[in-house]
Amino acid sequence: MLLATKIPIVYHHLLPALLDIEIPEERLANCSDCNLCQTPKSPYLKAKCCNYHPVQPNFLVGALLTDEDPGLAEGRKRILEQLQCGEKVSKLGLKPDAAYSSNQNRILTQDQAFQTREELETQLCPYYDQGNCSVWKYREHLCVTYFCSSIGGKNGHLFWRKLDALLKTLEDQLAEYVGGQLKGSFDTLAEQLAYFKKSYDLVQNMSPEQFEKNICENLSEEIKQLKELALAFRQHAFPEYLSFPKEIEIQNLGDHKILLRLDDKETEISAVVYSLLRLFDGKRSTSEVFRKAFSVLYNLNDSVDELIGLGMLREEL
Amino acid sequence: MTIYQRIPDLITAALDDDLVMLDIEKGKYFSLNPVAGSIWDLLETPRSEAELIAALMEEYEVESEQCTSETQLFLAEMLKLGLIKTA
Repeated sequence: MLLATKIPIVYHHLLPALLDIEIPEERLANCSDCNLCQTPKSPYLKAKCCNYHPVQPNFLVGALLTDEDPGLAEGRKRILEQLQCGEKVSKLGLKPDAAYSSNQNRILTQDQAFQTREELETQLCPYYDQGNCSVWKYREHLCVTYFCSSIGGKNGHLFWRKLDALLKTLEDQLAEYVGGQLKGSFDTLAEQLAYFKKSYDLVQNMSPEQFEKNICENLSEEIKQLKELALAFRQHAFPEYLSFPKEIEIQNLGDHKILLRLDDKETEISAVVYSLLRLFDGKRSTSEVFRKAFSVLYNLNDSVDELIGLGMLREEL
Repeated sequence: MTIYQRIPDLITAALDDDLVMLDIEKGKYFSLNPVAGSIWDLLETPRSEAELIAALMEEYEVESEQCTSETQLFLAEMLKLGLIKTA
């Protein structure tokens, strides 16, 4: 899969070197069939992972207001609603208000493994529309790069985190640059709409050379690092079928702990994780086993990554 | 006579012979072996200890004493973990 399919179109003319980076398809995380919504008792049913308020930079707000695609009608409506919330609006774009941020900090610093349904609903993204994203075409950096589970395990997550950092920097710097270029009043809704649309025009008309000069001087170095991470991502993508090697020793340690030993390597896992990992019998696909684990809201990413690294899960050919 | 019943909000998944459960509130996972899983299945309908033992004796070839002892152990453990309650 080419990265072009993941990067919002607004960046395509500015970041041509990113577009043909090849990455594995993230088939363990399918938003249209959400991993977190596999059981009717999941607290995530009405939020999925969208318990996050994006920071939409000015030019992405402008893109949404400018694009007449009928499919974005709901997104435009939501943006206009956000523009009524004065505290959220600035020349840099739209952001959560203080009450939202304070509530989010309170929830995230609690010592609990899962959020309640009610907490998730207070944190719901303002652009979430019945299971879909109403601003998908012009979503911000985190929404581009977040996957609950990566087919590349930690190498996949490293790639996406690097791309996230790059896109965030570009969003922040583009928004600031636009703010510095555009003058005029920003008091009324009409003025704000005009401002945001001009923001988008500025970015649309920017050449790659202007972009590299004014926004991201070390772009070539960033892209080089991203390509290296994409290579590691491709090389370490989980195989379609996995199984335990026959020579692995399995010892029940009691107290719900299991020891796995192979040659000189050993690792201790919980009995629950062992029950889940036993589903890797070479006949069930990796996707299928991950889905089964998600039906109890367990993400096998780290466990599978570790065991593949130890040789305790191997590709079944 | 004590009647036992499941706590309603647990999330469960059957994995071949095992049953994995998640208590969302406590953020804890549990794994039940096949026999414990059978008891859990039987508790879909609230039951007394005697009813559970009778149902298990029909399903498994096991001595009554062993079945009683294991059922009692299971019920005590599940009560302690907060996965079942008495009606």
